[in-house]
Amino acid sequence: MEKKKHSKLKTSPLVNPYVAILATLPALVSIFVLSMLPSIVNLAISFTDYHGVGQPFEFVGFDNFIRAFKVGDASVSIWDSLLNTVVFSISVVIVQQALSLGMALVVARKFKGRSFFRALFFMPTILGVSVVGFTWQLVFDPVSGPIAVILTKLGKSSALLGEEVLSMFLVVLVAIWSNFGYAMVVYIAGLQNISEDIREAAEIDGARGGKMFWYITLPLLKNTLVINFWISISGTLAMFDIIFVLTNGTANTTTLALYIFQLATNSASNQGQAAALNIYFSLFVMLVMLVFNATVRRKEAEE
Amino acid sequence: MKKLRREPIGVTVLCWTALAVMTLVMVFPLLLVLNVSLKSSTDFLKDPSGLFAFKPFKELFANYKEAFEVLDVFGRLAYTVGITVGSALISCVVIALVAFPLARGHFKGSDKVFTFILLSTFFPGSLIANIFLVQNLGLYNSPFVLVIFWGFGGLTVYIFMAIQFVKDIPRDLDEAAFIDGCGYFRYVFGFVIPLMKPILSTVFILKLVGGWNDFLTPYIYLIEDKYMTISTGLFAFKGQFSSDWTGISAATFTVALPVICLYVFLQRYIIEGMAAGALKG
Repeated sequence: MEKKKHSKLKTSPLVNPYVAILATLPALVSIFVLSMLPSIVNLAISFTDYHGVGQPFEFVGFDNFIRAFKVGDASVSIWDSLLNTVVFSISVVIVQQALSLGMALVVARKFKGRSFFRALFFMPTILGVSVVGFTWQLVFDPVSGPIAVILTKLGKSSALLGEEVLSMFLVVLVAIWSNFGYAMVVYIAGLQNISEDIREAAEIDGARGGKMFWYITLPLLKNTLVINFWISISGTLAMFDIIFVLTNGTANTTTLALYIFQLATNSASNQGQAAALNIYFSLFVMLVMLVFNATVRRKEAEE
Repeated sequence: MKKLRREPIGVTVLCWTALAVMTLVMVFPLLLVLNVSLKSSTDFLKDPSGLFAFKPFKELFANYKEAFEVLDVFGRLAYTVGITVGSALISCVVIALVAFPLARGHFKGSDKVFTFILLSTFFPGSLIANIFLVQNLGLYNSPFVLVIFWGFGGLTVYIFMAIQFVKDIPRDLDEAAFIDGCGYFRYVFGFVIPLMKPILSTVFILKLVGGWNDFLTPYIYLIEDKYMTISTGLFAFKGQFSSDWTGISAATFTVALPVICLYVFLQRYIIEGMAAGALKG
């Protein structure tokens, strides 16, 4: 209850509270309009057959929620894009976390030039999606890209980003390349929080290499691991921009988020159905995050 | 700090191998773009993987000249920088204005406002609703949209960071200034914002880079070519000349270079700001 006392002490007689409230308004209005209102509007649109500005639309009840699974053209089914989302997210999250934790362990060691490597691995994070996308499109160009050149020399050829199965693999690769440095930096911060004393004590007790990592470092990194996985899972589920630039969803790389983006930006599509699909998608993301939370809690309770 | 035991040689070798491989993976794609951007189309078609040949300056940078013209780099640069800088400044002011009263508890129920901001992070976004709102408010195809999304959007994480920052500033100065009759807003602009410089400059840099890189917002809400920012211009360029890799590479490198330069000088701010944002959010 110390907090209460504190806040009483804080309300200064010198400050007009209405002026202070006025100062918060720009932020509060923008948070309401840009973060909360869209969810409400989306819910409203989902009960209509709205197609676009200026076109008449009417209330259709729950139709869109029932028919959401048949949106758009028949070439992309919801279940296919759900499957793509799952494949994309699981591959990116697992490989990215393993790689970034591994590189964090390497870079967090004390050696000359470590800040250079940290900065280098983080760099793609600040490059724009269009830059990253076109850079890798050049690498994967089926005619004049370096991989195509090597394949030609071996007497083989491949459409790379145009191949059905391979394209997903390549998109996953680029997603990892462009983002693993971010998780790495968070892991490095976590590693630096582990006190040297604990490591020294463990070392005296005979913990080395793998043992040190498994029994000392990893348990002490638990909070960092949870944060990183949380960011990575929610981020990859919603990620579509890099896929949009690399393949635009052709050749089996349409994830749910990309599919919704395509519907939303296509003036011919029924926005009501897209909105209903968006609600399903949000619920799906929420469910995944709840399961993740529950798993983390259960693990904690076990210990 | 002294190390108890030296690292086994095997670990050292393994680590340096990992560093070397990852460095190659990081740098190779960008060097490839640079290399292709310096080649003439005929050279590129003849030998796509070969190294660029040294030529007189004018020929060497011919692709860049073409990219600058097609992309209208100079015009777009002024437009992009103008909007991103303006939006980033707006973000900083809005954040400072909300962080100060909330950190100090200047009105009853300020903790409830904090909860309101926290609550907003649980609302899922909706592109469909955003497009609906922009179109029905008559903002479609107006560059003002960019100011709204970049200047007033995505502030929550930074607001939390800023509140934490203001809490660490001693309140003695506030009291003294208010007793002397300094107005609230004058105090925020004259004293609080200068004191918040470390956190606000991080916000400014991240917002600047974010706006520069965001090709989707202009792509979605704007139609006319003259309103496209440089990243969106690059995207359109690629769509138009999809097989002209020498030109596209030059354009790509042109868009990437300013960000890379900014990053080289400000990497501490950028890395730590983004990592802190992750941990707070």
